[in-house]
Amino acid sequence: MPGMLKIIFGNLFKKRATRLYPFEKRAPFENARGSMDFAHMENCIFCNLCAKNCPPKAITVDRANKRNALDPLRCIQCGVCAEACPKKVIEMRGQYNEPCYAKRTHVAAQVVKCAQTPPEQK
Amino acid sequence: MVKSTITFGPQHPVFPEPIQFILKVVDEKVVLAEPQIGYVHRGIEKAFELNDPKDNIFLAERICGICPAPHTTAYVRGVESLMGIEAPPRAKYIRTIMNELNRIHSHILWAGLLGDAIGFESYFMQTWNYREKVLDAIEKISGHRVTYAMNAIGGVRRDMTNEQLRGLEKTMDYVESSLENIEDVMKDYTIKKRTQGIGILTEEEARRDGAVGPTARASGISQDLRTSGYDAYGDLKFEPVVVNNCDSYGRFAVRWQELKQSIDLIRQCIVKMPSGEILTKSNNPMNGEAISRVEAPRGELFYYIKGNGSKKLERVKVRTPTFANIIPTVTMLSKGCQVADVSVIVLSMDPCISCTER
Amino acid sequence: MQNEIQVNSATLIGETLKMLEAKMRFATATCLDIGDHFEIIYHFDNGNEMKHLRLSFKDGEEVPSIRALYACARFIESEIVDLFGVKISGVSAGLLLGSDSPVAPMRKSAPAKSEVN
Ligand code: SF4
Ligand code: SF4
Repeated sequence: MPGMLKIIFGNLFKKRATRLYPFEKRAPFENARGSMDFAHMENCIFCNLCAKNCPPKAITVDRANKRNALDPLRCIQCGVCAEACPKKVIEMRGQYNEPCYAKRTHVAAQVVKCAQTPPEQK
Repeated sequence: MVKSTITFGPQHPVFPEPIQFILKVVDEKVVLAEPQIGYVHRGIEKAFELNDPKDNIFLAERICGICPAPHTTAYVRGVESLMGIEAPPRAKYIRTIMNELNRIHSHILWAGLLGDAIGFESYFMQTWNYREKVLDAIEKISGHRVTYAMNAIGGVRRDMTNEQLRGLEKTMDYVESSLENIEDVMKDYTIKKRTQGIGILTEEEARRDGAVGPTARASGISQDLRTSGYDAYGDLKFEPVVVNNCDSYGRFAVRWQELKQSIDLIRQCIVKMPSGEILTKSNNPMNGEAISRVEAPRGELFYYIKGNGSKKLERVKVRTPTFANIIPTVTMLSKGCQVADVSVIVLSMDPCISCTER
Repeated sequence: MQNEIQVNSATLIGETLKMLEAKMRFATATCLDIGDHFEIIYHFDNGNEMKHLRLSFKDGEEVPSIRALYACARFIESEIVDLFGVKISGVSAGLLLGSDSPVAPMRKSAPAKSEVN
């Protein structure tokens, strides 16, 4: 019984064991594979290697329009595309995907950089 | 004698997954149990034949949500033996660590579920709290809590840094001390009442029905595939845990001791971890037949892989431990147990239905 | 494979009985569709090594069941009947598949489309 009292009073003043999730988020671990991202699209050479190696075939590479698209609900966050990409375009972010209401394709277009264009006119 | 029929499942509070037992009951006693599966058949064996062998690793991982490490290990070991290559030593150690972490989290999960089936909810909460730390350790190493994606054909995909090894050591200390906290549950009167002498499976019956894993080891059969020394297990010192209780309590005890054994094995791996490569690359054709067996948390996991030299595999057969343990469970049930004990008995073999039906 | 014995429908039961007498555990059975015929490989294990019985038979031929010797063969044989549509005496379909499922989906001739490739 005295042991139990100790636990009861201890629990009153202890930090809580759980997190109040949407308000308090744990920072993702280093190297966690939360979601994939076409982070450096400017380097992409549209070689199609990422789409070919992706196990569930979630990526489509559109060479003509210089666009890559990802179906986030197909993606299993395996990180194979990031390994396969020769230009290190793809990065795995630690943050998990947000829940969503609609199935959307995530499109990443290559913005062609032009040295003469001033930034405000882009 | 009036025989009545009770259908137990497929949706039942104690089962996380759908399996049905049709129980023939006289008064409160079960005299016959008829299992029924097939609610979550997904045709994964067929999908193995249609996809690229490299992509199949991720498919194998998704056969079971609780033990992805043994499934991928068994699959890549089979493909490696078809190709005639072998993983480098460091990769083998990393695989062993992942497999043992997997066993720890699976056994803690099972202990919690048992508490839940008995009605001991605070035990359920505590065990799953400790399990969360193991999952965190797994995520720090592999990048994901559930689907590790660590194995590749010819090795592993991620290396472990020294920092990670130190962190893993700390997690093991934490898990060990927290398990000591709740160890007294094994001596608890109620737990003993609910498990001792319940679900008897004698050694002879276990052999006859082909029980595997902790279910067999609790019946006094020393059957542990890790002793065959695949991956790094050949270098590690351990003895299979065998008890002679033959009942649900025995299966609890086996798993509890295996938790400690796994912690010890991970510590040995950390000390002995060799340095070097983690991946052997190869483009050899896959030809011939291979059988690859791995000790999963629930028992012997069996992969039969056949290649015909082409880019795709011709046949992959998966026999999961629960599939072998269903018939022994029917034997346990049909011995005249109480209806209230059915959940404890079925849970004591640690059913994992979606991997059973693939 | 190592330790493999070729059997046919007539000798299967006798060979299985030898395995039973040698106290081998019946691990599982694998069915293969080899185009013109089928094969079922029965895998036995005694803790140290595995032994295999390879049964070859034509499509439509009824092969004997070993569940009288090994009770644990029951689900394994039902699964083969379900997925391959072969005939094993005394084993009926309906374990994994329902009445509206595809028939014998694991056969090479069964229509199959990989969703991803
Ligand atoms: S692999 Fe990399 S460079 Fe090639 S198309 Fe994909 S993102 Fe672009
Ligand atoms: S993370 Fe994996 S599943 Fe997702 S896009 Fe990349 S390769 Fe495909």
